[in-house]
Amino acid sequence: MTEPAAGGPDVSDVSDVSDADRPDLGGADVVRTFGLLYDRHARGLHRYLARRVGAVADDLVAETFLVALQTRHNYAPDRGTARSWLYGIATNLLRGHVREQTRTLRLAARMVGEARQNAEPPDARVPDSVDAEEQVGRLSGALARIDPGNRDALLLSTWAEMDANEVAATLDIPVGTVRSRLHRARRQLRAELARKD
Amino acid sequence: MNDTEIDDLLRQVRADVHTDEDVIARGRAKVLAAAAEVEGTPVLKAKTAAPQRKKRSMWLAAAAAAVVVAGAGGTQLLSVGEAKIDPASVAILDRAAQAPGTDEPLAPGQFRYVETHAWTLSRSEEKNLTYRTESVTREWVPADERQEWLLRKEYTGNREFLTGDERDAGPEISAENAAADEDMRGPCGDYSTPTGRTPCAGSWQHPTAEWMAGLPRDPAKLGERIRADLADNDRGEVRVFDYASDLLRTGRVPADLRSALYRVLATVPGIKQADNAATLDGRAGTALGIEDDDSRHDIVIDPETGQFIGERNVLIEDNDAGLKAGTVLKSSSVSTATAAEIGVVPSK
Repeated sequence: MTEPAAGGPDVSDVSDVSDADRPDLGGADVVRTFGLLYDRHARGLHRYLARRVGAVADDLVAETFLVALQTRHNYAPDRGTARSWLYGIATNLLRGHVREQTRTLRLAARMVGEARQNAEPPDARVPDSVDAEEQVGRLSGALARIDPGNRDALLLSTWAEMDANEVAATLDIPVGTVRSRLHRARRQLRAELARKD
Repeated sequence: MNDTEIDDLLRQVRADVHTDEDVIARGRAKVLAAAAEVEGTPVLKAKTAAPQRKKRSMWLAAAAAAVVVAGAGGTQLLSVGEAKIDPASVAILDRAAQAPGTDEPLAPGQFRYVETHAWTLSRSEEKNLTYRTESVTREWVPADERQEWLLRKEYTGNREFLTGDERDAGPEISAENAAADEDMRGPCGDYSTPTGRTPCAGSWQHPTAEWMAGLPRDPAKLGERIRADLADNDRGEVRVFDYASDLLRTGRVPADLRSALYRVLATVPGIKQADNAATLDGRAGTALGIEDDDSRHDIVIDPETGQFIGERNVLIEDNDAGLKAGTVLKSSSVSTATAAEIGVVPSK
């Protein structure tokens, strides 16, 4: 995935999809720059946020970009990708919606049966056996109970498909800390899944 | 259960989430409107908050700013100089830009048939008569555009009097309309001889398929290209709207280029939603317009299908010819089809 790059490729042409997603956000053409940023990241961000907090995501996506707009001079391309930066803003905003986070997960725990019918997009990974469904349901409930910092790291890793370096850039923590949070999160989840109740 | 297995299970949690394109479009409008407001102001580099800190956290300012922006939204117009970017119009244009396009490619020997149904304004000063005249223009464009095109315009004879009385309209006015049926032919739509233009070169006002293929589809680049191609003018962004309309009214813009044009229009300040139930020729769409002097030039589009339906010019203030604000000065609708033979109107 992305490397933290000093002296990396020229990323001033934001429209090139193969670039490293490290745009210059400090220029005068703000409308153009943020239009491109939005087009590139809004849908993925919405999906991630909707998985975390349901309908609240609709407002949070725009809010994330509005905050990004206000703080665009604080984005440093050498410190991480625009994606990490945006997801970091979103993670902060999510902290104002902890109740919504846990409610969404507990609801998912109760509704495992519906996942099979409503799966979208077509390649969404849906449990393909009753046992797996049950496990996914229990996992949802378990996620609601683990430490929020560990949860953020784990879901950025699995739902937003970020590697440890990207999670580190997103949460603005050292990559070693990311690894220990992932480790602790998984350990807590395993313990929850092993419970008999 | 190892790490991989747990992660695989995790990926299945809430995997069935759906993203509504409307939500994305509305968010985009909000964000671009805010960006437009910012764009007018000079760029100031943020001072480093605490010089002693070795690591500059990206998120401190972000967390603080989150509280500030929570209230942004609604249909507030945000200004860029005198003209404003209207989030509602941006949302409509974005939606139209995202509609799946349907281009029907021509087989060799076939023709693109473009029919334009128009009402244009005429005025007789001495009789104080102002009236709209109806015409139908038909164009046949060959699959190989270097071959001969045919343009045929006819006046239907229908007129609509805006001021004055039809009975005052003497024979000279009626004759003017009767004589106008004409056929024009030429390769690459070059109907006039000679024009001084390089034949088949293509331009915003006389586009060819080849020329349009050379336009960038990336909206930012397309916007730059239009603005660069504009002749020096003091009418500013209105001209971007004009050039985009010039292209759209030909009825021959490929869907991907049309989509990019809509996105470029979303960056033009001064466009307002004039009417969301505008009807031209029985076809309903949303009118988006830009003011220029005493009238407003609207394009009428169908946001669901992305289709360009037509245009109109509407007076926005009473004028001294006795016409009232709100009067439609001229209007046209365009439709296209495939024709097997030049000069023959395809059946509907």
